[in-house]
Amino acid sequence: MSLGQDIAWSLLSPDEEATTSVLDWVQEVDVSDELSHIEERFGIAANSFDDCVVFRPNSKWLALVNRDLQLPQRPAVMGLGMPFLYPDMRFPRFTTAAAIRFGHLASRHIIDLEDVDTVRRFVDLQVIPLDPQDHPLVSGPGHLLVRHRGMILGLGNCRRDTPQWTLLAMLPKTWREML
Amino acid sequence: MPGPDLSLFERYRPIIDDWSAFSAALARPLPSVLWCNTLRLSSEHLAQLLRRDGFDPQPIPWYPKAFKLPPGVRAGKTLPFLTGCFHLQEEVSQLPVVLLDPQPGDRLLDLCAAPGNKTLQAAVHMHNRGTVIANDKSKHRLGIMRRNIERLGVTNIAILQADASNLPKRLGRFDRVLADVPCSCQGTSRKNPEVLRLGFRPGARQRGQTSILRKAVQRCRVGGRVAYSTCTYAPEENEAVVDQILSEADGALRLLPARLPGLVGRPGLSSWQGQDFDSSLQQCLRVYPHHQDTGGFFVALLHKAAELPKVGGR
Repeated sequence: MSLGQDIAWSLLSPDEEATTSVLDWVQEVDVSDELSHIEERFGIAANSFDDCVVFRPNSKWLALVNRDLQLPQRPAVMGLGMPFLYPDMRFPRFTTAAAIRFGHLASRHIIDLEDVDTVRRFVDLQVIPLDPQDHPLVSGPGHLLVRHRGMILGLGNCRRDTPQWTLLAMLPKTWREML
Repeated sequence: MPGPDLSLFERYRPIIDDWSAFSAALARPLPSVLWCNTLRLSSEHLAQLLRRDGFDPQPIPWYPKAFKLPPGVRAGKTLPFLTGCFHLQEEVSQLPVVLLDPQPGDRLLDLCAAPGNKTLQAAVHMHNRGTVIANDKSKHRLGIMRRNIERLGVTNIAILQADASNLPKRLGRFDRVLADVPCSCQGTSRKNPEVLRLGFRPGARQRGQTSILRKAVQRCRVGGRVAYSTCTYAPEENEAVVDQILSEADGALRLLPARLPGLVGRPGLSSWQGQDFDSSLQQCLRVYPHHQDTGGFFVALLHKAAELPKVGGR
């Protein structure tokens, strides 16, 4: 068979073994600034996400997917990965899914809520007073990872605009409604 | 209180090993079963968390990552569920993935994936490595899967929305293929009693089911495995479908024993209402509700030993 015939045959008979990569389907977004902020705030190394591709599936958040996926040539891929970051804010932050998934890597700005009633108030979006003395991993206001019995529940916002510190959950309604 | 009307299942009386135990099981509520998200914590740690919340999790003998809870327990309203420590899935529905045993790095296709319980189980079983392609026709049901992907934190799944029996060659080949096909759902009557009131036309779904299994074996690599499963007792939707595909494959497919240590079940049928099946169909697995207090289920595990013969002169 000549080279020309080879090419013609390959056009007629798709290579059933061929796959495509994630980067054939989505455009990778450079999030080095956002990950530097996450690293500074929580101590989660920016290179923890090197095996993944970050991309923008919509105007609200960035998503994360494994870099080494072997995707089809056809049909079109309709969904990939999980919500990862809200980038377009003063301080970029994890989505709740990402906080729960990667929160265990954090070394600072984590708060433990031991009491079940307090957890319930947190999930119900009530303002929770905090005594900084009780939370040695929190050095100041801003986003905190909130933990209960070793499980990361999501992010909260710590404020210091009164003499007492306060915590307010940043959980989306869909997550709160699961309980 | 009278038990459920089992007249729909009378046709299965000759193949069910203990009819009175079967009938009694169908009258009982179904236990809740969950599997541990081992990407997040160990099954031992999960059992501790559940006990602290007042539950009494009992490990599933054939799948130690899964636990049974008493009927009526609302485990889906707990913090460990919210934080993706586990996923709720009927015990027998966990069988196909355990039998397929996909490995980290494998490429797996779930042809009828929504709402995604088996897809997620496979993704976690593969340690969030490799590629899981989840396909379904239903956009709405795929939406449920997306929410569970977020909760469990898996990043090795890609979603397609297409007719499973009409997927193109350019999907590529897979190490593992799961064909958990739409069926008459008779085995789910403990959870969905309305199936007992629905009419049943034997064989009405057989053609579609056969098309999906045919696609599954086409998309499987030589050396790979295909699991075909349903939640129905109907041999027309189970052994008859597998028998047809085995016949078309002309030796390229071989049934593997669908057995697991600790799992009680019955072999697949070798005949039904005058139709004889290939004797290897006994390698398939039938699980009836009274065997281990579950729903009813059927699974066949196929090994693709060679390329399939060309059909229709193509």
